Amino acid sequence: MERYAYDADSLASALVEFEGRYGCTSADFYEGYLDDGVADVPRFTQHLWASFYRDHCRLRDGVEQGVLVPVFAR
Amino acid sequence: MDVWTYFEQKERQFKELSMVPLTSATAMFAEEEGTNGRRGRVVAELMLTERSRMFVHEVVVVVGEHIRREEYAYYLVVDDEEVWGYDRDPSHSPSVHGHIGADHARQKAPRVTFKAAVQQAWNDISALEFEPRGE
Repeated sequence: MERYAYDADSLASALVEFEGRYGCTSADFYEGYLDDGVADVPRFTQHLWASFYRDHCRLRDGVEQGVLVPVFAR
Repeated sequence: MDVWTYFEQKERQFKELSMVPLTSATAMFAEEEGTNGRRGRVVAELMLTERSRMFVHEVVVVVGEHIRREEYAYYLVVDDEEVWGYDRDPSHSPSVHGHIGADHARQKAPRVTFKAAVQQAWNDISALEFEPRGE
């Protein structure tokens, strides 16, 4: 099996594709996603987009976006 | 143990469960740069029948000698409509949940393995694909 890797830049390319397809920024999408989901975006795509966005922010800035940390793990 | 060992197992599992990957191998499995194979992703569209697909996403990390699914999403799609999905997503509470039913609202669901989700998909497809349309 050939080996491939992703980084902040490749995740950013995927985010641009989602943004173009659904007409909103990833930050705006993620805000809606954390609430109750975003109409007109299939649930699987929402899950994928949110995951890519979180990892992109973490890899780019070292900042976790909206991840709930259980109290016992703090 | 690294994510590539897991990815090879996953690829074999797709065949064992009679699923045909529609995603190219280059896009289906990847490790996160700089983790030395300790973290990665599976993103796959798998054909079950002419009308049915399973969409799969996992974020996996190596913990000791084991793989932990930090995130997962398994969705059954029939005739381009999402029928159900099971998620583990750390940004939601509870992180493990499902989208089941006509409104696809988030609701409680047990933690599922990939194999269990595929088995449920095969069972549901039998009913859905032979259900008379428009009745």
